[in-house]
Amino acid sequence: MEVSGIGGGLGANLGALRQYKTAQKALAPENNADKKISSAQSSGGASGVGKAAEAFSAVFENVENTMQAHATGQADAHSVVEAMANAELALETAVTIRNRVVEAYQELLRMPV
Amino acid sequence: MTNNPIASAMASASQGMNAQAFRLRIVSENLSNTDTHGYHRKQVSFKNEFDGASGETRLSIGDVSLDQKLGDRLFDPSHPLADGQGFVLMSNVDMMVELADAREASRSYEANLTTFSQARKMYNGLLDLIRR
Repeated sequence: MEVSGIGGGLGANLGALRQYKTAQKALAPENNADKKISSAQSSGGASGVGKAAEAFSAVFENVENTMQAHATGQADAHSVVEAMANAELALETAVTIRNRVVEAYQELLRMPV
Repeated sequence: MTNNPIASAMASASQGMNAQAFRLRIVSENLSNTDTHGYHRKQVSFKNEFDGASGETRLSIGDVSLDQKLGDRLFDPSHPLADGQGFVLMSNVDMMVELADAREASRSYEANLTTFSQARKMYNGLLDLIRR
């Protein structure tokens, strides 16, 4: 669900500034979710995860800024591609790590008491 | 992301692509002005720049200079730009040189593109280790 939300958002961003606005709306709940996760984790004692989530959302902010600069003619297409590749890698990392965490949790649930 | 070597590999590949695209732009300008009288072909220079913040050496586009070689003098007394002896100064663009330059820019661009996708593949391979 996360993947299709952001992936669709990034595709729409390529069009024009108007489409960029809708994509920004689509990205907004994603960022809020990250912040919720980070605050929940830091209250639980793992502040490293909170920092990672902040760095993760900074990558997406960078994509937004670069795309806006590209749409207004201040940035070249190469930096947009670079920012999007960075965001893609960051997202894949986050999803993979989340999958591992969920897997570990389910394994704990299956443990006979 | 500054300490991630894969991210900096992609960043420098992106700068390389940008520089080669700029070079192709200059070549295209020269080619389009082949028949402009008195036109001097433009030359691009690239240079290294050390970025203290990230500790990387980055590629940056230097100044664009003009080739000062004089173009061919064509005898055409009826031409409005002809001098006292009836000669017209042509541009100093050599199409062969420009096309070779364009081919070189295209090949360097491809090399940077390959580096870029290679870095992505390497990172995906790393992630596959976690995925199991």
